[in-house]
Amino acid sequence: MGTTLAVARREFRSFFNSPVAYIVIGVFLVVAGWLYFSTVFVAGQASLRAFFSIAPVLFVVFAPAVTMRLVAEERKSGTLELLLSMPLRDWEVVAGKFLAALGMVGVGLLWTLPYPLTVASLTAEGARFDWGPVVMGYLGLLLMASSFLALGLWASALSRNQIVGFIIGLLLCFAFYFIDKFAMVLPESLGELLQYLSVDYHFANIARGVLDTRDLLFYLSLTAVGLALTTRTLGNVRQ
Amino acid sequence: MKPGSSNANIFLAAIVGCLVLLNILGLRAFGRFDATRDKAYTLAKASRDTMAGLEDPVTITAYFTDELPPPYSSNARYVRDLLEEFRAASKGRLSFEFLDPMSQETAEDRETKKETKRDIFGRVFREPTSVERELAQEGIQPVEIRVIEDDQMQTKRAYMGIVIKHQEKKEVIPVVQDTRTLEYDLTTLIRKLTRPKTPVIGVVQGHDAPALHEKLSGLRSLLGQMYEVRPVDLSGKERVDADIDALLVVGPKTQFQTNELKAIDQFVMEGKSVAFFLDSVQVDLKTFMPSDATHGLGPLLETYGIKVGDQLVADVESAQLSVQERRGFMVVSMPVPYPFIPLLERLEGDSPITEGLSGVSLPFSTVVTATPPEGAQATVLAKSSRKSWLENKPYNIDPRRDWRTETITPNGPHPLMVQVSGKLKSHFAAEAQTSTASGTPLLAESKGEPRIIVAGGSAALWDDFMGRPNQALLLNVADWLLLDPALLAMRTRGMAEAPLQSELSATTRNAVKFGNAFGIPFVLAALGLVRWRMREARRATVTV
Repeated sequence: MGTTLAVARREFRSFFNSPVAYIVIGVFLVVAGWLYFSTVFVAGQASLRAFFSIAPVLFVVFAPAVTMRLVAEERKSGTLELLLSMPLRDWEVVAGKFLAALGMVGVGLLWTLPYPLTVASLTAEGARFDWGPVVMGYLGLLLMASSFLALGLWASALSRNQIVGFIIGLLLCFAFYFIDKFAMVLPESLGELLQYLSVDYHFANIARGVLDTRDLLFYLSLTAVGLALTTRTLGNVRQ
Repeated sequence: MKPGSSNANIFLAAIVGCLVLLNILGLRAFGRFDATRDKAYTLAKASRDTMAGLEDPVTITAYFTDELPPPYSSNARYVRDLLEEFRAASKGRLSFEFLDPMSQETAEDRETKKETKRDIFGRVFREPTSVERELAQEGIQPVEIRVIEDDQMQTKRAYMGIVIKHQEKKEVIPVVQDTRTLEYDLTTLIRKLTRPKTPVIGVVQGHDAPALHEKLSGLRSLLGQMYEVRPVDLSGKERVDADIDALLVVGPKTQFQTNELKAIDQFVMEGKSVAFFLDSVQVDLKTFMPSDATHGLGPLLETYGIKVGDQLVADVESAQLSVQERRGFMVVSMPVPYPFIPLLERLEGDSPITEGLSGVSLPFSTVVTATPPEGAQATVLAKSSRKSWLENKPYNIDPRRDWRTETITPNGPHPLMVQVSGKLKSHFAAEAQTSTASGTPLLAESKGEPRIIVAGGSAALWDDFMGRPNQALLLNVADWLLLDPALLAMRTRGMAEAPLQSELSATTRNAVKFGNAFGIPFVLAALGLVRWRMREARRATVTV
């Protein structure tokens, strides 16, 4: 565990020592902030559901952007071999990098906390802002991000080229986000399966304020699969 | 392939397999935590019980036009969420589909939509499409909503209706506009559809009360759609028929006998509910001559904590009456304000009876007050406006009365309709002990929690005044009398969303918009720069 955290700390620091974190988080904040706040007064509702419907789409792009260099760059520069030659298990390296990426997304989300605070302070007199769905929405975003990051990490491990890693990650996240949108053209039984595989479907459930064990289990499973695949790919690289 | 690699692949396959299995198991055994304040996504017990008790399939079709603008879009989302909950609670007995009527349109329909015609007055119209005809047949009405399209405000025809079907029967919610009461509405409608027996409402006749087939024909046909309406004659009886589920007492004029009072009282003590629409004065709408009504129900109602006054309430906020006036050779019809028909802008109380009702008129009403006895609750359902006052006997209710010469001191609002519910004591409690030896024993206190509604006038239910708002009030009253307490406990739970302050200045709005969208990233960028400069400075120090 200690070694995992050491890897995580090193990666997390390197995010914020380079402009990567500031650019990724900054662009995310501008796009999400503008899309959300440009409609919030039209809708007239003291609710963050609009933000929670924008953020997942942005995550499809930003999660692979966060993870794209994590393994690919190390493979390209040859530092991965150095890292793997250390007394570290493959999964500890993977977990460390994953936690660093999740930490960075977490920091990005922390910067959006003024959104609910602003909206709560503008709630009409007599009405009460409901914090339950907001807390759940953030939890859902973290869960969704973790599954995207795990997939992105795997994509990054598949190639030496960051851009290729990004594109594969983007395609994977895109597929898991939009998979249920094709459900209507497929037979009902297959449609339900695709719906279950959709990260968006599970997120929509959580964002309305309900934490369901099925949604939790799905995200944790998808994250675990992504991380297991990355570990396996790293194992191949080592060999 | 190396043996290590093969092992790793098997291990990976095992992990994935286990996770798939876990997810499949998780689909069957799951738990959920509703974090919303009002537990908006947790069904009320009454709804869960109703769904769990379904024996035959119930199908719900929600017709919602896609891409509705706010706030309708959140309604559609809420409806979908709620129906999901219903489906889960029904263990597969309830199924639902969400349909965008526009997606059902055929090529022919699209052609029909393009073809506009003009009627003889030159007004543009078009033939309804097959989808529109079908929906109209189902009872789903389109609503006109304003949307922004091509940078212009346009009116769009949208559907937001729900059809519930069970066997051969169906119930329709033509337009879902307010989702706050939707769970309540859906549960009530499903209960109506699936109930084994139609509840019976008894309307007490005799005592010169308006007859069902005369002044109350509207009431009979309206209630008859959902309930069995039966005239009840209490003369010579000490008990109301056992199969009657609720009683309506509308406008009796002559004295009730003790045995009749006992019958009503014991009906209440059985835990059943009664609505009284009582006049202290009867009015003939042709002559506008008032006559006293002496029904003698006052003492009985006082036992339940309700007092019916004997002064008519007059209100500036009133309906108008058409009065014929002779002007020279001509007779002209003139609408004049008529203070004896208070028109209620909105009703009071957090009660399913009055929720969302407005425009109810309660003609020739007296004040009704309620002080709940111990173990019961009282709610005022309707009040006259602040600009109302009490008229003393002898009443001058002539529509031609000249108000210009009168000085009136408004002292409203006055309560016109109340409800009392809970544990009630019998009016004949003293006799309860003594009469046990002979005949049926009298109940000294109520079983369960009966509900009593008392309105200070009966004219609101006459055919003459049965406009839409009054119809809705009547239906609500009937529903409320017949619902079980579990359903009543299902309060109108608010939507999870609260409105924003409506009167925000443009400056505030812009500050919020730009501050959040660009201010926050700006601070982040500034922080990044400061950190970079500090690192550079540190690096420079190290170099030196």
